[in-house]
Amino acid sequence: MAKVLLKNLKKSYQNNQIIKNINLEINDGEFIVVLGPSGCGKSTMLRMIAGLEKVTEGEIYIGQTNVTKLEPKDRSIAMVFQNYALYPHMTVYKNIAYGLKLHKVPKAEIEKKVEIAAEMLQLKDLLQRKPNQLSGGQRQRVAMGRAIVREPNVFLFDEPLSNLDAKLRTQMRFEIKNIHRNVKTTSIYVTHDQIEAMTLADRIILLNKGEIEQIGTPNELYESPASTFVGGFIGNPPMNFISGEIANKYLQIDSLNSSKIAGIRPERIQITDKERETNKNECLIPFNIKMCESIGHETLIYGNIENSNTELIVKESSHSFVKNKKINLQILYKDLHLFNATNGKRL
Amino acid sequence: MEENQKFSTALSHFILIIGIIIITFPIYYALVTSSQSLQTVLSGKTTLLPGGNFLENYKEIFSTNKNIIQGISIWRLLLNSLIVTICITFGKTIISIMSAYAIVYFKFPFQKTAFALIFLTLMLPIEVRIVPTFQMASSLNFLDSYQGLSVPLIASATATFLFRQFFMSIPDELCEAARIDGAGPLRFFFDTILPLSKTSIAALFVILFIYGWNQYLWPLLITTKQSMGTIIIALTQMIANDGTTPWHLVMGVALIAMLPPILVVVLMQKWFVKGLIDSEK
Repeated sequence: MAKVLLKNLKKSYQNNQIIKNINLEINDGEFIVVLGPSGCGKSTMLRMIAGLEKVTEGEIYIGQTNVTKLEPKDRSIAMVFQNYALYPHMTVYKNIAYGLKLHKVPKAEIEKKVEIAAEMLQLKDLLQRKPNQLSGGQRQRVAMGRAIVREPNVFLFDEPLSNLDAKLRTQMRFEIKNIHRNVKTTSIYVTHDQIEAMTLADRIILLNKGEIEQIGTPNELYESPASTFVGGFIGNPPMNFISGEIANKYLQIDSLNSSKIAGIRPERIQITDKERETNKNECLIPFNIKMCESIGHETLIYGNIENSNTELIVKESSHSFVKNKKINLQILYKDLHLFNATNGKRL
Repeated sequence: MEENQKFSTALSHFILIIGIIIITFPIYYALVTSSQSLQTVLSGKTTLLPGGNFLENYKEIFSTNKNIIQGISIWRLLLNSLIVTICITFGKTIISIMSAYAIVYFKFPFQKTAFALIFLTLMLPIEVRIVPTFQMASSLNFLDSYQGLSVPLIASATATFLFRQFFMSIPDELCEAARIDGAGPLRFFFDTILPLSKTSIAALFVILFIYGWNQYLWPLLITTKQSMGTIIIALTQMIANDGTTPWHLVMGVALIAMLPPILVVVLMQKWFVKGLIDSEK
């Protein structure tokens, strides 16, 4: 159990800055998800906390200890890797016990700890198997068991579920959440999957090009994205953006001009067929439908605003739309997000 | 279609059988010759059927009093060969696995240069560097010794390269997991790398054993005393220039010299194939 503190953390390879000055405080017992597109530096950041990458500049604290220069084994961390990284020649039991053995824990105690972990992860019947006799989900559990028995101050997860199929991923997500609820160890979880991020995180850190775009609870990121990047990254399909000039034609908002961008979530747009009077809370935008995609419980409608090439995506629960049909989009002003057009920051 | 398949099966068998005949005929001929008396062999009337002197000839070869070459029994020669081969096989395996480990897992200055140099020696067969090697061995007082017979042959670019390729196929995360678990470089080597390399080592063992056993040129140079000769060297020395060569015994010794490599291959075949085709990851 410990806080994690990153102070002015920087990492560069040759002249290439991967991590640009990250400052972050993670509370004791918190589940933090680091989210971002590939190449944003999220894995590098995690590996720096683990001690697998050298820190170019800055400091890392775990608890009260400055661990910036410590070896991974001395940092009281445990890590779960994307490809599990189990020792192929050792049984499940030995895989889980290996770290304890190296830390010279007495044999009886190892046995007890492995048993508790195996119980928690439903691995009891598999302890004598080798990793190649296990399914993906079971391997992931062993990897987790290996982390749990160490009783570290911090758990580090590096995209642990990306090698699993969709169904198993959901199940394991649930299990990870459960385990965290049980052991309450500070966890840092790296992923590019926003569903994982939204469901697991106490707070999400959204990284872009080595910088923090936004830190906040999943709802904060969804409801009030700090920039166009966050809006475009969180939510599926992503937020629609309308340039100020175009929006100005239809939206009666003061000072909406070319220096601003309006954002609206696809699921917040309503479709109305009829021409009708608008009240002061809403506006109507004429819209050409180009394509509809039905994904069962809802339909994604692709198209553009009439007389412009601004493309929008609309999420609807009804299916009664015909291709190339002209319709009106109804937008409530309270659902609009405004951003600065030059730097993309929220206004 | 079926006709066609039958034909192709027959053809492939036919070709295989021809290959087998070509390869085994000399061995069969040696076996036949070694079962005949010297007179029969020399009379030129050797048949393709075994003669009646098989046991006698082999008893003679294996008798401790029998000098295969001047003053040396076959047991001594076999022992020499075995010691040298074992030294070469184990030496090569140990050195190459350690150097490959260093090259793959450690960052040090001139790392690439070191690998390039090792790789370069692949292009220089022993014949090319034999004179300077001999000079070095002789100045180290390695002449007529087991060290002399084995040490110069121990460094192996091929084996190093093979292990390097294998290590590079081991995911980096395994090494990182070990670091997090608290295993140092030596621990990681013995606990993880070595067990994982088992099949590769076995495959290499077979190749290196045959290589070591069949050494000819180097033992010929480095030994002058008959007592340090290997069985392969002795075999050529049994062939005299003056027409007194005991051909029936030469053939027998040749067959005996072939046995250990065959034994190694047969016993380790399963591992050998596994090591070449499968990567247990």
